[in-house]
Amino acid sequence: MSLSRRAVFAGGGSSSANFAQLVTARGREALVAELGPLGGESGLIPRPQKGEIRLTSNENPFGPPPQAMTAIREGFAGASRYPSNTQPNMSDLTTALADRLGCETSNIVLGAGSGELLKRVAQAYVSPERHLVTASPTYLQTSGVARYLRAEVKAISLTNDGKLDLDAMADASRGAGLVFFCNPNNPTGTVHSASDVYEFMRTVQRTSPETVIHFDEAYHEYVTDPNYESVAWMACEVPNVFVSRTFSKIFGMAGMRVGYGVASGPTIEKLQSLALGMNISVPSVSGAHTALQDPSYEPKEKRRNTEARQYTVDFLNGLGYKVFDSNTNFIFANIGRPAADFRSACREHGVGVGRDFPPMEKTHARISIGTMDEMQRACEVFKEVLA
Amino acid sequence: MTVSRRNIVKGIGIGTTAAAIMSFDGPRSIARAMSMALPPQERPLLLHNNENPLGPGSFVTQHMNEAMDMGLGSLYGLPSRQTIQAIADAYGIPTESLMLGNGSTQLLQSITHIYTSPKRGLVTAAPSFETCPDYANLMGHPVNALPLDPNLMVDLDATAEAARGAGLVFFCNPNNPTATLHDGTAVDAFLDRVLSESDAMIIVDEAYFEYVTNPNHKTQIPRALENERVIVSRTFSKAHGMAGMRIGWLVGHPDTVSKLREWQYGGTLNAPALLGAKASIEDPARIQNEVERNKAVRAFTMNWAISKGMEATDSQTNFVFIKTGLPASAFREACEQRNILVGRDFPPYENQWMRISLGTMGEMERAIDVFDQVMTDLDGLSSRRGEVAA
Repeated sequence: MSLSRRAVFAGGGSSSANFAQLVTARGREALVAELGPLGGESGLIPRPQKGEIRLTSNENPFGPPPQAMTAIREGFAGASRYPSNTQPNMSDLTTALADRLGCETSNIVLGAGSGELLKRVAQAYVSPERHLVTASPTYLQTSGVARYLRAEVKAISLTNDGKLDLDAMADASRGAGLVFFCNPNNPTGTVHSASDVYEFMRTVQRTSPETVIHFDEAYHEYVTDPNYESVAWMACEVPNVFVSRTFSKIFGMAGMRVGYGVASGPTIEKLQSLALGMNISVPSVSGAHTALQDPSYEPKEKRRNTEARQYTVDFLNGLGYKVFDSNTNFIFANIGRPAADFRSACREHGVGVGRDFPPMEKTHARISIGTMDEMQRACEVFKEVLA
Repeated sequence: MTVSRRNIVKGIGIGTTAAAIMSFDGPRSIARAMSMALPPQERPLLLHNNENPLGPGSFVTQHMNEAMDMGLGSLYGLPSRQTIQAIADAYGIPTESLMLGNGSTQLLQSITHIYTSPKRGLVTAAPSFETCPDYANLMGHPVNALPLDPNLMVDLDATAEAARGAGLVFFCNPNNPTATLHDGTAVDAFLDRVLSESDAMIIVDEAYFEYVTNPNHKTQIPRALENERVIVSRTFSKAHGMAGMRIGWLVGHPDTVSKLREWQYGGTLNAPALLGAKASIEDPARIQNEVERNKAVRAFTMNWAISKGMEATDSQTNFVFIKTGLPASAFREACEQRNILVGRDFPPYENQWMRISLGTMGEMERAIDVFDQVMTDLDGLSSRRGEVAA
């Protein structure tokens, strides 16, 4: 069994929404320790088997950029020093991110993966008195933490085009502690335009000024829609807006656990105090810092993903299956049958695809985008199992 | 400003805490310490954070590199299970009693989150490791930090008294920053008393346990396995030399561990740390060598202190706590000017006591020359001042 960024089932297992939510609240390690006897199941470690294509967890099939990989390996030489005592250190990484975003270092908080920050944001702003507004389906971690904290969770169904229902979410936001806004949204891959996002922010800030809006921009770097823009710059300027980003996606460092958050000073201070002080390992700091130095990497990787994604979408459309408009390194396809059946059929042909995403698990499957070669081979498998 | 494992925040409010954590920049000399451009003898010595100067060694590094070779750097589904199994095998601990964390920091935060409240506070020592009191302060939960006894040891009687009505007792053994250890008999009696006279949880932080050489020492892991009110925390940051990889572990009753797991975010550990830690556990000979090496360096450093007529605690760790008789700040600044970083202030001992982490033997030989110079200079300064005042 493998787990996604979002610490959820990737292959088989329970399709219960409650269980999936419980799982995300507890995180990966809990799962590891709780699911079955230890040591008996080698499948947990995703050693890529020869010929196996892993399209389960929205990872980068090429891994970190080569220079970052070198920096990670060199970082092992500093393994005995705290990440404040090395070069580059956590502060250098913060500075590099601030330079890149054009903000101050006081606008940045680092996390052991964006997951750590997602948890801290929920901890900071959600309570039994201050409910959470989120979407369904979307990334589940925030609602998992909210339920643990015994807070009400208002999960608003997506619209027919797989996008967040912004009007309904804004209505539900009155008196909320936190709104979780995944843009682009996982698992549908859909993105909201800048004008939609800003209108939503204005509405919420007018009708519920104390409510914090958390934009999870984990897939930001893969977006191709020209009407999209990140709200990171605005998060620095206005109170009660938090943006999370990650090195797990375009930078291919999911196993190194590096994420970051962007917000105005007071919000960052609050989260900084809740976050683990030294949460990023020395080689991870080194790898992330190096990954930011090469401006040519991102456009190349984005182009590669866009081409492989377009190929896959065209192929599925050609078979008569609709796919939501994806701006990420995965797609959400209406295969007209249970994802579980599709998943196990693909598995038999050496292709892993995404877990169930209730309430759409009876009709839709999430497929991560691998290399072009992998997608060409995977599409032949899709054709066969969907026939 | 430097930040120790035990980050320096004295947890007064969110603003202070955040400000302290955000000023991560150590002294500029840290960058120079790591600079490969300088010859080793010109690089500053880092004797301020109780790190292992040798690092994890080639066997562990090889396994960390293998994690990268396997592609785990880019994948989710981390190999935590293998690491847990290795610890379980090495210590004879059932896997359901084990839990990993991003350093022991994450584990201590989770424990404080679960077992303290606005009504049921934390009992700790002062000075001791600050993660638990920092977090309790942040959450607005009461903190009762008890003074050490005259031997700079955790005052077990006072702690047991204070445990009544508390939610959690934090007991660091050996204690950081004073390096002192309570032996097995004392700890057993203390735990018996807390368990029978209160209903508080007890966390025994054994971060430095591998370095202990007192023959009467005793780990509390066996008790943590059977008693749901006792937790033992350990780390790979010290004897295992992996502070930069961020991995620690705890032992508790299965019910306690599952309660902690419900809250703690499990996705904070990186793949090479997990496989490196597994390799380190499976190579106990290296840890034994490290303990022997540290023991010799510690004896050398203690002998120096004693030869100068200074008091020092009976160190059972990879650092020493020495009464230089000088303000820690003055000593520290003078050392930094001579390219050596030493420990921060530890109130209420900051006017006379200094924590010095142990480097290699060669590093300590170099350091002691500097300490001698510094003490001569500062002593001269203060006696001259004394003459003027007289």
